[in-house]
Amino acid sequence: MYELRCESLEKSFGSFALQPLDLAIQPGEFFSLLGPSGCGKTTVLRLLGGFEQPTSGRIMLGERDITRLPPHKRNIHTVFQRYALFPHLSVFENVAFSLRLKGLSRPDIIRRVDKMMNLTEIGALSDRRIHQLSGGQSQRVALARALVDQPAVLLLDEPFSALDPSLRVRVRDEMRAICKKVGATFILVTHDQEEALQLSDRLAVMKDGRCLQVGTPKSIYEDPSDTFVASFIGAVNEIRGELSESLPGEWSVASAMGTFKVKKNGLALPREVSMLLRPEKMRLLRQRSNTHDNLLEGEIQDLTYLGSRTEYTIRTRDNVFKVSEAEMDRQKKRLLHHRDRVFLTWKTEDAILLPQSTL
Amino acid sequence: MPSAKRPPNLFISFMFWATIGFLYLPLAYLVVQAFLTDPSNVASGFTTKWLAALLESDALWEPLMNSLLIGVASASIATLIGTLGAVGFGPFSTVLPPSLTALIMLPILIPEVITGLSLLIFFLLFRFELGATTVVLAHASFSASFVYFIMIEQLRKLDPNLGEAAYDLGAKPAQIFWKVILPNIVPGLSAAWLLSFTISFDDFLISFFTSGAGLTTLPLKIYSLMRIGFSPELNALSLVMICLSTGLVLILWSKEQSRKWVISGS
Repeated sequence: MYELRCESLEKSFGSFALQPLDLAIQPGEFFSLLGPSGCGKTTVLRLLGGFEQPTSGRIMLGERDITRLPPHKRNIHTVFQRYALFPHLSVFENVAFSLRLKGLSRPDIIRRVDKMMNLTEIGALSDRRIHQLSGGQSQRVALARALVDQPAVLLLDEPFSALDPSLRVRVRDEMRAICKKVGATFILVTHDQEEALQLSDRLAVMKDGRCLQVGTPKSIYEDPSDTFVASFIGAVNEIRGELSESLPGEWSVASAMGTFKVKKNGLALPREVSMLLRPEKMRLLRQRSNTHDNLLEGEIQDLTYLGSRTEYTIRTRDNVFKVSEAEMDRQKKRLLHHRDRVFLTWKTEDAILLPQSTL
Repeated sequence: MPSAKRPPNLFISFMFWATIGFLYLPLAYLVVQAFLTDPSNVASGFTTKWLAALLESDALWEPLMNSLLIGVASASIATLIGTLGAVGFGPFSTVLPPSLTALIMLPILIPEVITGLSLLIFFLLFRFELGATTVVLAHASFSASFVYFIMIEQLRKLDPNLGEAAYDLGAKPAQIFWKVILPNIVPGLSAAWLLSFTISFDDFLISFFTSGAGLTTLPLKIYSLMRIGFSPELNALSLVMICLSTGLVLILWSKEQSRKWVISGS
C-alpha cells in the first residue's frame, strides 16, 4: 500500500492548462476529483494512468517516481468511462486478460480470476459474452478486470455515466462495497456531486484547471473555500453585502435586504462578502418573531412536496430563496400554501461567509 | 402489448411488388433465356445445351478465371492497405487532419474514366508492362478507399478506449492489434473484402484501360462478344454468375443470422 502524490503536476495543451497540482492521496483512500466538464479532472486521471505525459511535475507512488512509466508498469489501472471491455472475449477471458499477458500458469489464472469474479459477484456470468451484460454487470466486469492483478491504485473515469439514472444509486452502493473489500486506493473522476459525496473519503473540487479545495465531503459542504465550491456542491442561497464590526466582536453584514448578524471565522475577509445559506439550514415562520435574529419577509412562490421534505421557493422583496424543510411538524405544514406570507430565518452560525466571487 | 397488425395498404403493396419487379424481372428473364432452345423465341422449349456448351468452351472460362484471380488479389491488397490506413489514421489516432480524409474519398468521386486513363498514363510513364499486375494494382488502388471508409465505420463502433484498456493491462502495441483490435473488426474486414472483390469482378472501365492487349477479364470478354453478336452462351454464363453471387449473399446472411442468434439466445 503506497501513498500516491502529485508534485507540482502541470499539463498544457491547446488553450487548456492544468495549474500546478499538489495532492497526496492516502493508501486505501477513496478519493474523488469533482468538477464541471473541462475543469481538468480527466486530464489529471490520464496523467495518473500514464496515458498523457505532464508538461512538468512528478507523480510518486510511495517512494517510486512513476511520472514517465507506461500505464502497465505503474501498478495503477484504469476503468474507462464506457468500460472498454473486449467484445470478442467472454467475461472470464476479459478478467483473465492481464494475467494471460503476464504468462501465469493456467491453474493460477483460474484461481485468481475466480476469486476476483466472486468478490465482484460476477461468478455466474463467467461464460457470458460482453454484449449480453447489463450496464451494472459490465461495470463489475470492468472492475474485476482492472483489479485482478492487484493494482495499488484504481482510477475510475465517470464510471456511472454510462448507466441508466435509475440504476446509479444501487450500482454506487455495490461499488462502494467492492472497494471496501479490495482495499486498494480508488480515484474517481466525476461531475456529479452526489456521487462524490456518497463515495469519497475525501475529494478535490476542480475548476478551469485549478484545484479549488481538498477535503472530506463534510468539510467541503460545510466549509466551502469559495462561492463556486459552495454552489457546485449542493444548492445555496446568496446574500451579498458589506461586512462590518458593529460592536467589538460582533459582526454583521449590511445588504440591500437588511442587516444580518454573522459569526466571523478566523479568515481574513474583505469588506465585500457573500453570505451563503444552505436551503436546509433555513426555516419558515408563519409570524414575525422577535426571538429570531435574522428575519426576511417573503411569499411562497412555489412548493414541492417530496415526502421526507418539502422544498419551497420564497420570493422576498428583491430576491428568491430556496428553502428545504424536513417534514416533521404536520400541523404547521398544513397551514402553508402557495402565495402565503412567511418569514425566513436561520441560525447566525449557519451562514457561510466568503469573499464575493468576481464572476 | 404486441402491436396490432395494420390492414395491408393496397398502394404500398403495389409499389413494393412493382419495385421488386423492376429490380428482378430483367434478371429473371435472363435466367429463363438461358434455358430456351431458341433464346429469341419463348415458345421454343427448354434445354440445358447452352450450359453444357459453356462448360466446354474455353473462350469464357479463361476470362472468368482471370477475373476471379484479379478480384481475389486486388481485394486482398485493398483490404490490407485500407485497413492499415483506417487503424493508423482512424478513431484510435489523432494524426490525420480532416482535410486528408477528403483526399482518401476523392478516388471514389472522380469519374472512373478519368481514373482509368490516369492509371494507364501512369503505368506507361513508368514502363509497367500492362497485364494482370497492372489491373490488380489499379483495382486495389480504387477499392482501398472503400475499404478505408468501411473500416473507419467499423472502428468507430468499438469503444474508443479499447486500445488504451489493453495497453493499461499490459499488452504491447502488436498484441493490442492482434489480440484486441483485429478480432473485433473481422465483420468489417469480410464486408470490405467482398465489396472490393465485387468492385473488381464487375469493373469494366478501369480494366479496359489498364489490361493491355493480352489479358481479358470477364466484363471485357462479354463486351467484346456483344459487339460481334448475341450468344446464348452468355445467358448461360450470366446464370452461373447470378447463382454464384446469390449463393455468396445467402452464406453471408446465414452467418449473420446465426451470429445474432448466439448473441440474443443467452
